[in-house]
Amino acid sequence: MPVITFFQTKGGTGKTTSAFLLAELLGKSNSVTVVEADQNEPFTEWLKAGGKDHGFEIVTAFEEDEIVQAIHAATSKSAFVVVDCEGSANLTAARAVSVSDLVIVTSNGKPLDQRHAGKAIKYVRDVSRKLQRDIPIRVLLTMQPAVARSRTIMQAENDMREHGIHVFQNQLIMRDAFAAIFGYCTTLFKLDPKKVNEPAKAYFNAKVYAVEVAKTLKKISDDAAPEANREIV
Amino acid sequence: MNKAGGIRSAFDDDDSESEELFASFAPQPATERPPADKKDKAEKAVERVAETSGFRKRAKIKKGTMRRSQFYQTGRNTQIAMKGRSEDKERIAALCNKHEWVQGQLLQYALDALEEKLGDPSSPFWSDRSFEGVD
Repeated sequence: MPVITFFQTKGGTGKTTSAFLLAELLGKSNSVTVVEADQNEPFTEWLKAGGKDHGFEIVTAFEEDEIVQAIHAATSKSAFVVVDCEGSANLTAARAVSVSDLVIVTSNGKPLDQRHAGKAIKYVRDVSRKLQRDIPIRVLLTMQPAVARSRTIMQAENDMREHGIHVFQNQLIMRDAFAAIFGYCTTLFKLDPKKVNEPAKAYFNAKVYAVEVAKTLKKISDDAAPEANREIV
Repeated sequence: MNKAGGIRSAFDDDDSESEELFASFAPQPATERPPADKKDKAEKAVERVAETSGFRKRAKIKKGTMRRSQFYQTGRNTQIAMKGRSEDKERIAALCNKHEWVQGQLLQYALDALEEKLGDPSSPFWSDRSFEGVD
């Protein structure tokens, strides 16, 4: 039921990869629908190129007048709805955010990504105020170095925490396996270790991230008692 | 490592714990949509915020209208330089202008026509032409 929207006004921050990983991991134990709101259709193309056995359903909704309906329909069908938005300041993404239970803003922590993350977070907060409904936001740091994090990234993380922005404890590490999902058009679980470096480590990374997302959702739903009336836009 | 920073126990069963957590969510029971006026109000509010934040309607991608590369379409991607007679050069230009062809196109048609003629050496076309390299 929870709607998790990956939202960033900049492209190339890892939204689709993070959405895919989350959907794959959650899909192993429960029903998941991915709502593809990106006109570049990365999920559909992955399917067309032979992707299979992913364990989640994919529906497309690119237009601003169909996105809310698509999300609403998915919530009654699946236990998790993952929305992958396009990396631009578009109205489809803006509407998806307004019906989300959790908005995940992706950033690699570098200044350009951070600026856009700031813009995205400000928008979510404004909508939240306007609708008088709390829309929780978490920042997911993506494409992080496995060792020796740079000062820039550490400063960015501290900056966000100082401004009351919640950042996931777990980050997605820059791993070949994550890119290979779309290269070989397979799932993370099925990556061939002969072709890709350390898929097991990538899988572990994805798993801890998915668990943190699920725990966050649990906490949000526990905190939101009595149940808030969600505005359907 | 475990949560306290020590060595992770060999008896921890994290997998089943996470699977249990993932499985604890369920689809939302089918609900009535809110009345239209309430929906419109919220929709307009979101649109206003989106507009002031610079979120725009996207231009629709028209499928099938994208122009493919000229090279890919024609395969004419090689420079062909040759010496010829100036009157032949003028004939090439005149034919291209008349039929609105590019010169590569004309060369293709000319070669097709020549191959056809070569298939029939008895054609009167060859009566005033020599195969000796000089005509």
